[in-house]
Amino acid sequence: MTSPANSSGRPKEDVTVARSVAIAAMLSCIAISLAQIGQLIDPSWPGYVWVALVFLVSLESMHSYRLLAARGVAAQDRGRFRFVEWVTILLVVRFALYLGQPAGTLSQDVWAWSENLSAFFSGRFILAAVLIAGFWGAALFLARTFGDLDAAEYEMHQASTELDRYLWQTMPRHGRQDRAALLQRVGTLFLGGGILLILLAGLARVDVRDMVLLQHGRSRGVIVNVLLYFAIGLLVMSQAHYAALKAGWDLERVPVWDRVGRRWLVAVLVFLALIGLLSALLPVGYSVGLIATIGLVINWVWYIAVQVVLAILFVVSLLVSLMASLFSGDPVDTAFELQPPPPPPPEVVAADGGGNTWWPLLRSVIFWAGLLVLVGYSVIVFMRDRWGLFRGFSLSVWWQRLRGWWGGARAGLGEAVERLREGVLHWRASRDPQLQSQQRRFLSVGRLSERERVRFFYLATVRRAAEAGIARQPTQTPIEYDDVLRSATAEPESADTLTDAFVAARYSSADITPGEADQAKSAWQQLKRRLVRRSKRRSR
Amino acid sequence: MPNLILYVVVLFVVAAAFRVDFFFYVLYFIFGVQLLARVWVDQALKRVTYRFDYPQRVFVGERATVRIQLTSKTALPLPWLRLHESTPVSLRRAEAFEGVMVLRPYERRDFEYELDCRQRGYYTLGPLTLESGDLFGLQRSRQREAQERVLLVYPRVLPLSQLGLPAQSPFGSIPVKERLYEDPTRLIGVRDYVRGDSFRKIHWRTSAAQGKLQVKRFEPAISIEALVVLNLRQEDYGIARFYTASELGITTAASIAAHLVSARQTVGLACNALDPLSGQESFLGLDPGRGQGHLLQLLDILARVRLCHSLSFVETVREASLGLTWGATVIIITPDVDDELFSLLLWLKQRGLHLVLLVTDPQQAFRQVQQRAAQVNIAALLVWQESDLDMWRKDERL
Repeated sequence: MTSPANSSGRPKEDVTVARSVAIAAMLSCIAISLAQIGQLIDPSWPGYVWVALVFLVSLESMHSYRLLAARGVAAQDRGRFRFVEWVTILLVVRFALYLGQPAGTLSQDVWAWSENLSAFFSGRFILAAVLIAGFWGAALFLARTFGDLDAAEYEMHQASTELDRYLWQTMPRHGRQDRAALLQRVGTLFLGGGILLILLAGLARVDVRDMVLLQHGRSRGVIVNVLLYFAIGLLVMSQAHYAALKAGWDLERVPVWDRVGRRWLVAVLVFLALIGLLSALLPVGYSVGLIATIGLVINWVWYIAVQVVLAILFVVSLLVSLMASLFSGDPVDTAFELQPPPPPPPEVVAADGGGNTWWPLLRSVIFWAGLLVLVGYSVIVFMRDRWGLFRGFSLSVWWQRLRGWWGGARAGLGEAVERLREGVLHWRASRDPQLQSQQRRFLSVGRLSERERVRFFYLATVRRAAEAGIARQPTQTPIEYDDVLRSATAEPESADTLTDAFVAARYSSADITPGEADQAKSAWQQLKRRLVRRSKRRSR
Repeated sequence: MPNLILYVVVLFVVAAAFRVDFFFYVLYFIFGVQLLARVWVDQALKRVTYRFDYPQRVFVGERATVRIQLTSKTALPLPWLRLHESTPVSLRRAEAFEGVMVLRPYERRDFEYELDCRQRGYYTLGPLTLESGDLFGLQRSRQREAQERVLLVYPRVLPLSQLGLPAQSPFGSIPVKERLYEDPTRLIGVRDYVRGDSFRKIHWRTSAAQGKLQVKRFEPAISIEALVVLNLRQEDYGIARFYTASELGITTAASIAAHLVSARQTVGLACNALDPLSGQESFLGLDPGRGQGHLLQLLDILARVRLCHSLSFVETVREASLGLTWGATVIIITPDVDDELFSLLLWLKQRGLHLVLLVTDPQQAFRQVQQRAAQVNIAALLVWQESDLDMWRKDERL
């Protein structure tokens, strides 16, 4: 039934290494944009070396954290450990800054340091050291957070006499890590880093003076380090989330039946690739302004609506004329003179003067629609989260309603078609004396009582089932036939619902409520769809 | 992960300010992650259906296997899905049934767990809870089973002879061959006419067919109607033994009922108890009937009844016996017999009912009870000691 969780919630070594490399790569992406800015200010700034330094120092920071945690180093030794580490880092940074410099620069500076030690601490070195310290700190923060996210040993199995156990039991929340808060911290760091990166990348591409004067043009192309930052960052975020979930499962002794961790990575990659693809397809610019686009959309919607109304009027008038001719015996005469359709909406000229081809217009429509959705959604969620406004507003609710309306419209159309078919049959039967004997009763489903509606839906299903090759045998009761319907349509719930409703409507005197009739109708529609599909397959 | 909305707004401002196309892609990307993560989990979890397959009625000592089938009816996979099924503490073999899995598109997964039905009772299984979330911690959804599932664990049914009761006592004291009282609704055949037979009993159609007078034969009514009346008022039991003695009484009632049904006789049940189905204390009863279906109904009641506090047993017996015909047998299972109950038993005896008294937890010397009952020709038996149960179990193995 259940199996005990692993005694340790710690991840494997390769997972830890992969996380460290990913975090270091993320931070290096920021360092790339920083290096680009640095090179704009000082072209001799060693960009590649700088990025490599950030990568290595980030790795060192996380490695040193794990070493300290594994060895359980005391506070005094910890200070010594950090001091040694930082002296080494500063030396590496100091000498690494000479990579890419002309030969002989280092030897000159070493000579100068021997004369004046303060020359060692140049402005460039101090700036580099401060920035490196920032990256080192960020890496340490993330390593510590990931360490805290994993289930700690003291949270798992301890003897009751152990001090850790005592602390765990007596601390708030049983001494467990507040993993939601930890995740929040990681997320904030990731998003903050993202904003910083985008600002840096933007500043590296745009002349600030032009930007202030609003004279800068559009900048195209992929910014690789930004792309990598967000891709790796979201991977890291998902790993952090998985680590928190896994820790929770381990602590609660919930067995994990599948290899969730392995599939997790694949799922994240697929998910991100899917969104990336969709994002790449969306337009990032527009050639038609917002007002013009809205006007265009409204015009087209109006145009299509008018066309639909005219088409319906045409069909109705034709039917009315047809019926009138039946009674009067006069030849068929169209009721209306068909009016010429309204002209299509006026063409909109793109703002960039690129003509009025459909593609720029479509891109503009998608752009503005996406933007409006984005802004609207953001505002609603923002206000709901803070002030409780729009509490009842839910996209999924609206989506469900939209689906309901669509389903209702389809059902209504289906009923209308069914009635039309019945009407035609009725008309043919009345015209043809041979068919009169076989005349079927003309049914208006809307006028039937609830009980009769349920019976109608069931009998219609039985008729369709017979067409699909699963006719009800005369000896079969509805309950017995229900098994046939269940297996043949793969809609057991619908079959049960409709059969139960029919049995109640046919064999009991209990009142049938409109809700029950609607449920039967919905089941009938489901079954009908399946049976029609089956009939088509059969006819092929 | 923090809400991405504020971030999206800031990103939009930055992207619009710099007019860098790629920033718009990043904007779409982040917004897409937020939107899709929320919609994905909600929609996917709504389309996960489940069904259960388990025996709804089992006997004490058996194991019930509960099978759960989860089906995904969507193309959206769930990166993780936590399933939690609550199980009754007194039936579970280990912890609650739960685990974490990945549910792929249109995948069907079957699970099963076993319940150790050690104790009679009315149990609810579940609710089943499904919990899932997205890959980034933006959305978490939960689906909880709305319908209650019931498992009835029947009391142990022992062969009657092993209960130590005189085999003829409850139902054989009226000789069947006397046929003084017959039930005219239960025709069992015909026989030749003999002088003295009532003309009303002549079966005219058969007589015409055979050419001689045939008389209808009816099933004797008085020898088959038995009613088991069980006392489940906790205050009537001793503090030390109220649980053991009441369970013993229920087992005894079930065993007698099963024996009578297997002997093709009618048996009914009445008791004062707490019914977990309604959550109220009430007089629970089942009119005398026969057949396996009737026995199952009877065992259903005995499976779910619990000790009550307020309902008087004397009232229960009085109410239950009102519908009994002359000569019926009333088997009274009670922890003890007080004066009020004795008075009632005497009245029942005077009404022509046959009484059998089974005492499970006497608060006085049982010999006194037995002597007092014997004075009015009531058979009184003690069903009391653990050794009795041991003996029954030993014999059962044989």
